Amino acid sequence: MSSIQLRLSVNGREHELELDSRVSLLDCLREHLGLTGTKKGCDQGACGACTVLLDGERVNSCLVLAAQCADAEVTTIEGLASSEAGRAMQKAFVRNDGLQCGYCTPGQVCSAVAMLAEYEAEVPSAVGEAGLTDAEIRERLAGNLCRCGAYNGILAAVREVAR
Amino acid sequence: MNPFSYVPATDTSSAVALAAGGAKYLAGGTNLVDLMRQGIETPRELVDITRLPLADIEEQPGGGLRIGALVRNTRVATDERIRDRYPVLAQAILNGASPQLRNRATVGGNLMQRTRCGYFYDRHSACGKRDPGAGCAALDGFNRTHAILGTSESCVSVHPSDMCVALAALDAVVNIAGRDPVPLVDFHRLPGDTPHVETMLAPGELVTSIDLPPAQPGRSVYLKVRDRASYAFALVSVAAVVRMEAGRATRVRIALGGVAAKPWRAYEAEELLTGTSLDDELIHQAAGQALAGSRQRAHNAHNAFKAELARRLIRRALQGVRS
Amino acid sequence: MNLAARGFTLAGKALTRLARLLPDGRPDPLAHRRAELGRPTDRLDGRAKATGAVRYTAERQLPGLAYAVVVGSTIARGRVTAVHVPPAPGVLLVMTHENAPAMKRTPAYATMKGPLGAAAMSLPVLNTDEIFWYGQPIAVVVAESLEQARYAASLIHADYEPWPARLSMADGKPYTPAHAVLEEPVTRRGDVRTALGAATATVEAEYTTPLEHHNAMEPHATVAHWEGDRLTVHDTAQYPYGVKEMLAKKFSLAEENVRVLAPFIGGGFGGKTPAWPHVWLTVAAAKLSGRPVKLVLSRADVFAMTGGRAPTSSRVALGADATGRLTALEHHALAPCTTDEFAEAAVAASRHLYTCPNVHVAQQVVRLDRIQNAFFRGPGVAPGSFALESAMDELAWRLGLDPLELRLRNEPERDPMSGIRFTSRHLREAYALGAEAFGWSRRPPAPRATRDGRWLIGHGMAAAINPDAVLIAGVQLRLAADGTVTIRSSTNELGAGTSTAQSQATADRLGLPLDRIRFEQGDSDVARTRIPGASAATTTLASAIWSARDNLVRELLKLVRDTGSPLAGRSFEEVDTRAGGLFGPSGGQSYERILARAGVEAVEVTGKSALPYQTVKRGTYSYGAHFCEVRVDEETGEARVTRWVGAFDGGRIVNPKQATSQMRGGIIMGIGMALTEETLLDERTGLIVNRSLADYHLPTHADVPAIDIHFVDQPDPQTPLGAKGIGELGIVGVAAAIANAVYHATGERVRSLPITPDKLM
Repeated sequence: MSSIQLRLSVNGREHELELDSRVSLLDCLREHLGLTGTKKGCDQGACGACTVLLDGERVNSCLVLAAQCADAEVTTIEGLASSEAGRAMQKAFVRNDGLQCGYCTPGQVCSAVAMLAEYEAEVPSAVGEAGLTDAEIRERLAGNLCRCGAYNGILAAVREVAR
Repeated sequence: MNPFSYVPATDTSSAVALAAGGAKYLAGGTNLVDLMRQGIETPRELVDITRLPLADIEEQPGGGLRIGALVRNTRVATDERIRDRYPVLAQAILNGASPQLRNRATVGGNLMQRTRCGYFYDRHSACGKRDPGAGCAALDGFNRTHAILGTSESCVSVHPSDMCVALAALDAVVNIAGRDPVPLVDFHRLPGDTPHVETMLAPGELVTSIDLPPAQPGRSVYLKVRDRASYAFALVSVAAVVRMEAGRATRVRIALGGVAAKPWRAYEAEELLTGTSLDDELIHQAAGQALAGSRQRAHNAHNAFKAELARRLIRRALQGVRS
Repeated sequence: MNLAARGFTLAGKALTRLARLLPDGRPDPLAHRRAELGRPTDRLDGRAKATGAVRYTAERQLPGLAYAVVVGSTIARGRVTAVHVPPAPGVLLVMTHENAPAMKRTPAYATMKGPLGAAAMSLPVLNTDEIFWYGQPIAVVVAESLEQARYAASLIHADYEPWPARLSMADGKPYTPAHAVLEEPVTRRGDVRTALGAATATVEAEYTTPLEHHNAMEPHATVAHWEGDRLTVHDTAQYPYGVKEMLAKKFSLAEENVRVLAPFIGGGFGGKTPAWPHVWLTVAAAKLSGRPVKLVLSRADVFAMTGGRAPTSSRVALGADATGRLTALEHHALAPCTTDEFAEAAVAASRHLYTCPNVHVAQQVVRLDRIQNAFFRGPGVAPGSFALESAMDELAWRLGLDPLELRLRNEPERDPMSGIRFTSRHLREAYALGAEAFGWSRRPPAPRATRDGRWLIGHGMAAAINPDAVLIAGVQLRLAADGTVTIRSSTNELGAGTSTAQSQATADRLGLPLDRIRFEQGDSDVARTRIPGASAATTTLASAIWSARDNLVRELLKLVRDTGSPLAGRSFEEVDTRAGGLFGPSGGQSYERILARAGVEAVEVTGKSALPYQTVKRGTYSYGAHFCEVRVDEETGEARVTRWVGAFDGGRIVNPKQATSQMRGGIIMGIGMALTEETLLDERTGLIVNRSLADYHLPTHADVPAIDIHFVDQPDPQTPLGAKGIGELGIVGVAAAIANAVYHATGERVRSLPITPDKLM
């Protein structure tokens, strides 16, 4: 086995790890660090369930090798609860019923929190409307699939937090 | 995924040296990691190039921009200079993938994307990209999303990038470590008898940046049709860049996506339109000209609609930018 | 019609006659007396889900856990002649047909033959060298790590002796199956052909729906753990009790030695109702390797190793007189099946939606060498209603009648097939609610009449119907000295909101506030519970909890016998559970007080759902009406749904917030069915070509408009809580409403799903 050693900071906690070089950030979180809040839906960047914040930016953790995260700061759904933005989003999801089975939910929440930050930082979207319209929110969250179809509730939750 | 050793590169020359020995470059990983997990790519060694100093967008003498190969897609689309001077590039990027993928994917990696053909992704189907000379299961299989231009009996796959379509229309140039720059339109290769040869890069060569020539005054647009509203590859896309002076088009660039193994420039259509006022009839004619060489199978042509769709998109794009 | 089919038909007729002698359902006081019921309570597990705290199946960690990966066949039919297993690091076991332990064959769940164990198919996978479909497991690799297992699996290859495979519908001969989702496969009344000849307006057309996959966001996963002869399995099972039964049989174990745990499932939609072969292969691999084993299907495996909704083709003929009354209704449907015969019964909606004197519905199947097809949200009715409700729209245009008016003129008073009464049917009210909210009366009368720039705008509507079932469930109820109540059930939380809804039902049943109730779920050992789906959890569990409440009352009355309580000596009929305790004509006591006075820590009782006489005696269905606006790009053929109103008769609504989400979810899945979803199975080989979520297009946020949901909210007098199942109702009729709106927008009728841009250019 080709192994790698790395220091990884997850939710503010440092981990010294020795891993098979093939381990993805997603499997590292789920199988090695016991952080199972981040979900595996497709393992190929096509569903968004594995969304985490890598140095503050939302990424699909299934397509990132853990090896690439040496010295990076990872924030998962578990860590989000310690930020005000994260807690507010989690509460808004519950209040607006932006979840059903709950499996895509951590990815949706991470994505929504990062999306609002991106919007503040003037990252554009393909919709290109003025203001954070419903169409803007939908397009900016299109990378997170929900098979239960909680999209209306998620939109309402994001609207509530963005207000 | 086969076992591999992972080496983070600290400078370009050592990265290139490792690759010369058979290592594969890893940047954003949004395509490569997936392909490795599917057993399509099987490198023994990965050189992580993400920390190389190729992640800036710089002004060029003469007014162009140089985009480092490791600039993330989101940053390109967010950069004020790109949005002001090359809006078609920002539009194309924002119409591709998802925000999560764009945050990770790099410009160089976007260029190096491999096709999304379902038969290419299946190790047991005939595919000349994976297995030179093996033929093409898509020819008589599901080919609704496949190419109609520049195809061969060996391959009908399409290049999946949106960004590259805009770059083709912008006359972008690809810079490669240790050799002369290559126009983007010459970077990708049509399949011919060698569909496994997808670009003009020799094994181990490294894309370092993309040069955008000085922006021309005028208007541009990127249009994309896909099977759902977002987060899907193009059925057909069009990038059009037009400079109008005194009611005449003095410069016309039309590039198509989703129709070929490379971003497809419609040179004859451009020529036909240059110097004209882009009236409807000429646009109609040019759109026809652009697809004149399109080929579908006599039978089993699930993708036949793409030619008409491309014609309509070209017309819409040009009508949109001529005023 | 074959012999089995005839037998089923005769049995069905006999049952219908007998049923008329049965008693009615017991009216449930909670249909009217509601405190927690009817409230839009937030999901009780919402916080745990939103913070990532819920543990799903694949997240169970056990000491010594090993990782398994399945290898699938690359031919559709034939024999494996050799499996080549190159050495790879970390491998603990490679299990093939040559070394797999013997596993008894168990009947396929969907065939409804024998006890309803959860096996998806009866095929002896890995106990034979025979291959029955492309992607059939031929080996299971167990290794120390996921990465090692995956790599070792990628090296394995097999030699085959291929046999001719029947993969296209033309490869087999259509025949009549034994039943069509528990109904007769063929019904004929009057003379359809003559009626069609005499009709003022007719429609005859063929409608098709493609192969589709459920694609719950959570992939199927199993964690199996042996301790001697005892087996514990964590599984993504919609039907834990059925998995327990099946595994006990397959591995010759006493049932009490098999425990299946499945508290939280990341979506199912029917795809996790049957246990696909990977479930028992994981158990076998754990047995053979002597290690606890975890197996999670890759998304590609989900396509290859679990079945989807079979494609359907429907030939529908409708005739009507000048007043818009249906005079003829013919629906002949064809779908593929396997050796385990299960028909995607597309004719189902055509039996129960409209009144018509001349009817001929007939379901046929063709046996193919594909993976067993599965139940999928709204089995039969979802694809079949696309055909029927599209044809109704076509008929309305021919008659020059508003499609809503056409439906109202053919609304039946009794079940059109059997003539039996309905327990309740408020479809007229749903039509009225939906039409009003949508503004249906303002719809421009002509097609292709509304335009907004490049977009053509159209409005469409369709009806929804879904059979309602009350099935079998048991629960355990524990009343503690502090007055809190714990309900334990073998059912689980799939996202429908069962745990919250049943907590509300328990609260009102016992007269307690919601925060006193705990609901524990997903343990197969609680009680025999057969709720594999069928939108039946709400009423079935409510019935079991009602029975547990009755047993609790009996136990409490025993406790107060000698305590000088105002309840002493009262009979069961004289007392009621309300206001936090038990009350009789001369007063009562709180639960805490009763237990404290008796010096009892807790009272534990069980409850069982009542036999669902009413659903046999009368027709019990949920209903709905969809109204939508669709925009179609005139040049590119892109269709986008931009507005939706759904109005539903689901009896009394238990939790409007969750129910609204449930209906929206069904509608969104219907939007996918209408516009984007199709599994592409290459009929040359059997390979599924688009086996990823990048290529199989589920609707994204950007594909979904605001969806406005209304409920009639009238109690069904025959059902527990006055409620009817709504889990599947939402998807039914959606595809037709969209196709009808597309016609209104463009003048183009698309009869083949999905309606992709190429079909509208």
